[in-house]
Amino acid sequence: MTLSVILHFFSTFLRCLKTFVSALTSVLAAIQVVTSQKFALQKVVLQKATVIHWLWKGLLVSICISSPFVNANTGVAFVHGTGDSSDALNDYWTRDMVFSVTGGLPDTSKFVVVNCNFDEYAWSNEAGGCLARQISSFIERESISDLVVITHSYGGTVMRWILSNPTWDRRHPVIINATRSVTAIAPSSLGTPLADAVIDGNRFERVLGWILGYRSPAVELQQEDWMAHYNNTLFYGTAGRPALPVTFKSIVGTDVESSPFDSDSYCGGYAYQVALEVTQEWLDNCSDGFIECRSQAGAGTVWFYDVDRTRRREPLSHHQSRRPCFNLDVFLRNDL
Amino acid sequence: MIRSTILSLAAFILAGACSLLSSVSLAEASLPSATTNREPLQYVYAVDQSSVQLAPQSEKRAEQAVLLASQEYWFHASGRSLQKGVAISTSSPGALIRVSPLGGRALEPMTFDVIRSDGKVLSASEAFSLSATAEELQGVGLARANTVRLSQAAGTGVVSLRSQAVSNLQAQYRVHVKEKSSSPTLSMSVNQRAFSPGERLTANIEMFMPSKDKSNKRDSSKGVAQSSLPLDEVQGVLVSPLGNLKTVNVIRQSRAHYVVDLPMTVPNDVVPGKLWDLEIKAVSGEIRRNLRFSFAHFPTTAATNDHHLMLTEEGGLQARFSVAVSEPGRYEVRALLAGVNNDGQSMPIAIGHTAAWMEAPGGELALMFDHSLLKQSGLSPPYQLRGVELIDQSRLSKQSARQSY
Repeated sequence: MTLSVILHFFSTFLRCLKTFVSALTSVLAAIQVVTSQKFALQKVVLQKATVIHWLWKGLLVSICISSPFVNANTGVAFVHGTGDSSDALNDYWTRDMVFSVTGGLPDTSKFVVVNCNFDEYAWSNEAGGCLARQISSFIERESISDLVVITHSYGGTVMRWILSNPTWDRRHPVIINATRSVTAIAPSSLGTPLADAVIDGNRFERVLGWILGYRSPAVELQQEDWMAHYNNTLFYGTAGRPALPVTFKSIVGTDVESSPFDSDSYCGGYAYQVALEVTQEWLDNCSDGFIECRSQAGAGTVWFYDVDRTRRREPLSHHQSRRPCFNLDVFLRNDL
Repeated sequence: MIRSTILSLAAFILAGACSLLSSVSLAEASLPSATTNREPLQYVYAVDQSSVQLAPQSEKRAEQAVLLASQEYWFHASGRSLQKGVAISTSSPGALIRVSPLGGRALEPMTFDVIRSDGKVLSASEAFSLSATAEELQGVGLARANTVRLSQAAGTGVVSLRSQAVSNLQAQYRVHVKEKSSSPTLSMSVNQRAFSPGERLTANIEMFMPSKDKSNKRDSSKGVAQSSLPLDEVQGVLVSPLGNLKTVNVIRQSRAHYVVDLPMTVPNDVVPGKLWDLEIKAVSGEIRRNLRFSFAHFPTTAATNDHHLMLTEEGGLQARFSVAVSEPGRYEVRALLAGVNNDGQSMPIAIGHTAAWMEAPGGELALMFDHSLLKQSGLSPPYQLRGVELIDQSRLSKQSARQSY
């Protein structure tokens, strides 16, 4: 008992120290920028900065002492998009992305990378059931009381199924109660015309399409008409519907860039960018190559549109938004 | 005494719900269920008072009409016809074309050429301004298809697309064409998105062309003037969740206006969660368009006609809903609890969900709102339940929603 109290105190102290050092680094970086731009004002700025620095330090210590999350056990769950995943850490997110983000955790081991069959309907046992099972096990195993869920694409829709349907499964309330927020990167909240484009209604594809890869239930659900119906009946968080029980904030990808002469087009892999330039042709002018901006912004609130925050105002394509491109990983890390 | 009164009240309400249910012809056969969960569950959470705009209490929830538009068409072609060349009709430059095999390998874009309307043959590099192979598209989640965009050199009108790489002449391909900019648009308005047995699906079908004449009808979404195009052919087909097809009678109102009026009977094909499709194909001169509307059509399996809200001894509120069911399954009631602020306005307090497995003829679902929740809201009685919804979780269908939030 005593040992656990000491360990807890030590962990809290380390977290406060880490937050303080991180903030101090930001302040010093800001001073550096200002002084390099306005050398003549260096002295004045430094004096002001010193005051700000000590005020900031005091504020942080106060926050650390009084924060309700001091006693919280923070964890993060990564939820992949469409597809039947067995190794999402390496195949879907990459280790660079996951470990960069989890670096912001007080205890960097408190994360889970979900692997489920998201070729299925959100409500199916293979998709929503699997997600509920893996996240609730993580919460229980690690005693997580402050969960941040990071989803990509269809993963946001499956997560929204859980949040909107607490009586479907006894694990859903466990997840809702432990979740601080869901960061939905490029969620397919209102569907995508690309799902409509790969689905044909003839009998042949209705019956055999899933074998051919055209008509997986997940693709079917992400058709715009389907999402319009289910958003209006079984899902919460879209316009005119009740709010979700936890914060659901989206990051919206607005464009795809694939210039061979632009090194930014190579972040995440150039070939993906080229393909997404083509798929983007099926969509509105504002899209990440797979999902239109209005769909990504269609549920919960918008945290930010890529170009408003990313390095050099670079857009995040649907592929780049699951990679550590243009500081995306830093925003996610600092949000933990 | 009190207990017996409550029991008789519940029996009375259940009887009422049963009679309501019988009047809407319930499904008789045993239906598949998407869940086997038999555990009763309740969940209540407080809502931000500014997050829900409450409508006047008397306001009935209105079904909203659905507006659809298409600048696309698709058709099937055999390997033999693709080898000879299939006609692609375009009305504006830069059409996107996607050729997907129904089995077998996708054709590479570079194996195509295009024969222009004036007879000139263009190689792939001349005919396409953009292309992606099936392998490239697979990487971003689109399976088994290529995509090309016609170049300015390919022009507009009817061109022929052919591939010399077809190895199986019997193979089937789907050719999907999308025109984005300023091209004719097939438009369909449908009365609602979900249909119960006994309701009617009504759809109005027209084709519009962007017009410079400002006296013409305006497209409300884009604010541009447009004129109707006469339709030479309109066909409709209904596709069930199991893939059964039924030709739909499309009625001509005028040269440019067709309607569909479908009575919705008790559906035979029921797959939990799966929607039906109404597919429309229209032709106006050389312009071809297809459009698909997906809609919910599930059997009526349950009904609730009343609820009671009672104060508990602990100062909380208990809501009780009588639910009559015809099919075994898991049923849920959702409702928003509202109270009154100092200005006398009705404001939201919490959203509650309660679900349980039920067998015919039904039973009761209860929902508890804790005293602490009421106190925390700062709102006063009279408390009301708003936007009560009955969900058949087994079929993933909303059974009733009597009132707006």
